[in-house]
Amino acid sequence: MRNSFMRALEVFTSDHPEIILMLGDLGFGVVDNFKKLYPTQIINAGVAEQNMTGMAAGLALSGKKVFTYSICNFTTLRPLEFLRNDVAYHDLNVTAVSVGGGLAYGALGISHHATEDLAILRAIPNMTVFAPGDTLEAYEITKCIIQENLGPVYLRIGRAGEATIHNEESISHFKLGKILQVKADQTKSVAFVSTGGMLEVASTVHDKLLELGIDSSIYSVHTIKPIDEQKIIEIFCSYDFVFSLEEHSIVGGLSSAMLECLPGRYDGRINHFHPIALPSIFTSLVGDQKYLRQRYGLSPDLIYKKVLETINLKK
Amino acid sequence: MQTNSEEFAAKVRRHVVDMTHRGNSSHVGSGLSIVDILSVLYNDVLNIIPKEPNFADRDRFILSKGHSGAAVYATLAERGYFPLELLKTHYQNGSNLSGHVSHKGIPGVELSTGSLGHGLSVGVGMALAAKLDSSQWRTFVLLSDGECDEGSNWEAALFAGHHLMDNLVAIVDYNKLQSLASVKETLNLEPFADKWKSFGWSVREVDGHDHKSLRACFSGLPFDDNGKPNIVIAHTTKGKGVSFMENNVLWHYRSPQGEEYRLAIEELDIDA
Repeated sequence: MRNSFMRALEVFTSDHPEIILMLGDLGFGVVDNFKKLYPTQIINAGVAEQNMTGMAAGLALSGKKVFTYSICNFTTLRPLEFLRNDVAYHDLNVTAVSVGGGLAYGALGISHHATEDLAILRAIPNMTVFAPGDTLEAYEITKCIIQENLGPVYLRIGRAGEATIHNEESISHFKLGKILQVKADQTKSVAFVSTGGMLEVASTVHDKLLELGIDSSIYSVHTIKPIDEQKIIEIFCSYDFVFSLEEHSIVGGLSSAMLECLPGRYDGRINHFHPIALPSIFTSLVGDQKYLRQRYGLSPDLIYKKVLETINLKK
Repeated sequence: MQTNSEEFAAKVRRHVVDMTHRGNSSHVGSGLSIVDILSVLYNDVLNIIPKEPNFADRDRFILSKGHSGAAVYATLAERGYFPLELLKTHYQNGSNLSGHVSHKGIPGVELSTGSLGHGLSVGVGMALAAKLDSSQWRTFVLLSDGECDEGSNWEAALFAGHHLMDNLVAIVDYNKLQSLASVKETLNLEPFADKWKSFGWSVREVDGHDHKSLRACFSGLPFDDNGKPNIVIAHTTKGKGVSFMENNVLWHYRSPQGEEYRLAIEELDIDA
C-alpha cells in the first residue's frame, strides 16, 4: 500500500507543482524515485513532527498542497494539536500520511501500534479520514487528494506486501466517500464491512465460507469520515448478519462510525450487528501483525469461527 | 514630538485597556507589552495594504502569543482592516473577536493561535513557501518569552537555521514575566541570545518600547549576509503605559475594572 501511495504521488505530482512531500526522517528507499523526479518538492523535516506539521500549515496557507509522511502515530498523535489548531481549524490542504496503520509494525511495540488513530482523527472537525483496503484503493485515494482540494486529510495506509483484493472491474466503481462493494451475496445473509487492511482478511473468510456453501458480501469502507451513511443503513436493513472488521480499538473506529449513522435514520433491529475490533488495551506482547491478529481475534480463522458460531446460534 | 507610530500606539493602548475592561478578560499586561512593536511593524515595516488584506506579496505577521489578541485586533482596526466599532465586540457572546487571536471573519489575521509554540513553525512553513517560489515577501512571528519554554519553537529554530531562512523574522516580547512568576524563577532562558545564535540565527537586542530603535533595527533586515534567520529580542515591560500594571504579574490575568480602569485610562490619556 505504501508503494501504491508513492507511485500515485510520483505519477500525479507531474501536473501539480504545488505538491510538497515532507518527511519525518522516514521513508528509506521508498521516496528515492520521487526525490529524483521532484527534487524541489520534497523536504526532510527531521525528527520533529510538531514543527513538520506546523510548517505544513504554513506552506498550505501559502498555496502549497502538503503531505506529511511518517509511520504509525508520528504524523498524527505526536503533533495532534498542530493538526487540530493549525491544519484543521484553518481548513488547509494538508494530508497526514501514516504508514503501518493498526498492528503492521507489531513487533516494534506499542509506540508503533496505530490502534486509536481513526477514533482520534475522526473527532477533529474538517478532517477527512481514509483507510484504503488494498493497493488499488490507496492509489485511487492518493490521486483524488492530489487532484481535488479536500482540505485536511488523514490517510492511514498499510506497510508493504498487502494483497490486491480488487480487480479492474470492482475498482472501476471507486468513488470518494462511497462504500465500495467487493463481493456480492445475492441471498443477503452475511455482510462484512471492512476498513483498511482487514479487507484482505474479509476476503479470506469469504472464500472459506464459500467452501461450506455460505455466500457473503464484502464492503470496503475506505472513507471513514465522512462515512457513507446511506449505504450503512442499506446494509443494516438488507442483511441477516453484519460484521464490521477493523484493525483498531473497539472505541471510536469503524463500528462506532457505523452506529453513529443510525439515530433518526434506522428503526430496525441491531442485534444482528457484530463488531470485530481490538479490545481497548495496550499489548506488551511481542508479535508480528499475523501473530497479534491471531491473539486478538482478528485472524481469518478466528473470524471464520466467530461467523459460523453466530450464524448457527441464530438458526 | 511624537512620531505617527507613537500616536498610533497611544490609541492602541487605550483600546487594549478598554477591550479587556469591557470583556472582563485577562492578558491586559501582555497586550500592553507588545503595543509598540506592533505599532512600528504595522506603520513602518510590514509591506501591507489594509484594503487588500490578501494581496499575494504582502509580508505575513503571526501573533504566536495569541493571548494578546486584543492588541492585534486594535492594531488592525486602527490601520483600517475593519471598523473600530467592531472592537467593542471583543470577548462578547456571538462575536468573532475571541480572547486568543482568530482569523475567522477577521481580515488581516494570518493565523489563529492560542496554544503557545505553534506560530514559529507555521511561520517557518510560510517562509519556506516564499523561498520555494522565489518570492520577496517576509514572515514576522511575535513570540512571548514564556512561550519559549515550548519545545516546538526549538524544532522550528533548528530547521530555519539549517535552511538559512533569512526571510523569517522572529521577535520575542522579552518582558521577563510569565503567567505565575518571572521567567528567571520559572524556566530561566538565559543566556537567551546565545541560545538563538547557537541555532544559527542572527540576533539583535532592542528596547521594545523605543520606536526609533525598533525602526532602526527592522530597517537592517536581513541582519546577516549569510542567509541566517533573524531574531529580535525586544526588551519590554509587561503592562507598559499603566504605572500600576507595569512589571506586575497580577496583570497577566486581572481585568481592569472600577477605579483601576478609571486610573488606567487617566494615565493613558495624559500620555497620549
